[in-house]
Amino acid sequence: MVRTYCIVAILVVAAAIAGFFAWPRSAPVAADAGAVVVRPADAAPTPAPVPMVEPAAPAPQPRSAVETAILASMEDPRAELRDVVVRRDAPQIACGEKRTARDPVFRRFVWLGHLKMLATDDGTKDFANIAAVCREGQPVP
Amino acid sequence: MTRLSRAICTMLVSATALAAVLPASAQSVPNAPTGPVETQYYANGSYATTTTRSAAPCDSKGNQCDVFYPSNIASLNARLPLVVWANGTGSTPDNYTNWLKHLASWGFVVVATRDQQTGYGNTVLDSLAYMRAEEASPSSPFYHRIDFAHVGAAGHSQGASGAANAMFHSNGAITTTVTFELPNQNWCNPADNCLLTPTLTDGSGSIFYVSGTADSLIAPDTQSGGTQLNSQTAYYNATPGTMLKAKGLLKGANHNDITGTPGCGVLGFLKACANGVYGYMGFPTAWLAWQLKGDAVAGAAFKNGTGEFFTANAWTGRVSNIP
Repeated sequence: MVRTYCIVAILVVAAAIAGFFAWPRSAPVAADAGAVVVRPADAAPTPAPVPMVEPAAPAPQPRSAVETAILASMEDPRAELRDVVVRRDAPQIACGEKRTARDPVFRRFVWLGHLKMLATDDGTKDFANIAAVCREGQPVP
Repeated sequence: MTRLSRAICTMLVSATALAAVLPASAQSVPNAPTGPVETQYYANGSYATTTTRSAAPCDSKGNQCDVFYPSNIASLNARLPLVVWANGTGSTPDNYTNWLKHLASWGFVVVATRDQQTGYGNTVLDSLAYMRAEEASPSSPFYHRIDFAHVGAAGHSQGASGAANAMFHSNGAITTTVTFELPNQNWCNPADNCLLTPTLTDGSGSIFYVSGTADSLIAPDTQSGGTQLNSQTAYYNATPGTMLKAKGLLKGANHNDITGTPGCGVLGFLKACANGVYGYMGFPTAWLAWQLKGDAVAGAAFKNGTGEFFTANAWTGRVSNIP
């Protein structure tokens, strides 16, 4: 019985320790190494200069999980993303550009995945303050 | 097993048990109340509570509703005021059970759609219509038990927009709203899935804007400029002076502290819950008790500049127009 409790306790403590270290809240990485480009959103369509042979359509690039989550939050089937960058030391935060059916201009956005919140650049200093969270090492809200 | 390993195991078991118990009993509680009104409503009310879920969808998007209410509602003499609740983005009432049960313990019936996109307020109004139907049904526990002359709204994050929109689009059926962490308009997606400026400036009723000082990215107290409402102060200032209004920020509270149970637990940081729901239980409940149950003492706590709200230790950024 005691042995069972010990094993369970060890597993719980080990999981807690692993979770604590696995969650990268403020990992001290080199200052400008902070971003991982997921993908450029709109690859230009490949032109077909000679219509003799039908070129194979480029395979659609699979969306990353973060892009899928962002698009799902927008509830707009025509929404597009590009230049999506995930913060390396806080992968719940992503930044990039988006456009929607009702706002067809690409505008910068900030995504807080753990809160499912998406901010759009409105040209104000307030958005600039929000966008600061995209930089590695900034406090995570 | 050696004596040493047995000792280590005993220590680990003890530590694990302690960690499980600590949040509820031994840790200091943040944002403790300091005055009589806050202290009164910070505590749970006298009613034991019951939670039910609608058997069928209760809103136009096919979501069910959860209802939190005093367990002895059938035997009470008076009809009870109703609060319609609006969830934050991607959330259900399951994320707010401590807060919603707290309200029910004070004699409110609380209906909460399980809609996870409540910003427009339409599903919140659907939940109100559902309760009207329940109140008229002899087979319902709410038959002739709801006081529809006293209906308020409350909501969190996107749901704060949803609660306010529900009030402003209710044709006077909803008379007061408490918003928790109402996001800047630059967080609205799509842009009209939020509290729009014309809706607010043409509105009526009363409103209490509640945010936290650690939520400066989403629901900050002030903003740099621009025409959008990107701060709690901007929302407050845009609210017509003909409405009763108040605003305050709970010190150290994060975006999701309202989801505390009542604390945040060891993994609370994963959902931006830092201090828990504790500090939110006093004055927001007092506001609803004033507006919906006629507690004048609770109302006096919000009197501009001199009410208890303005001297409470846990709050900052306070302003009101309550005479």
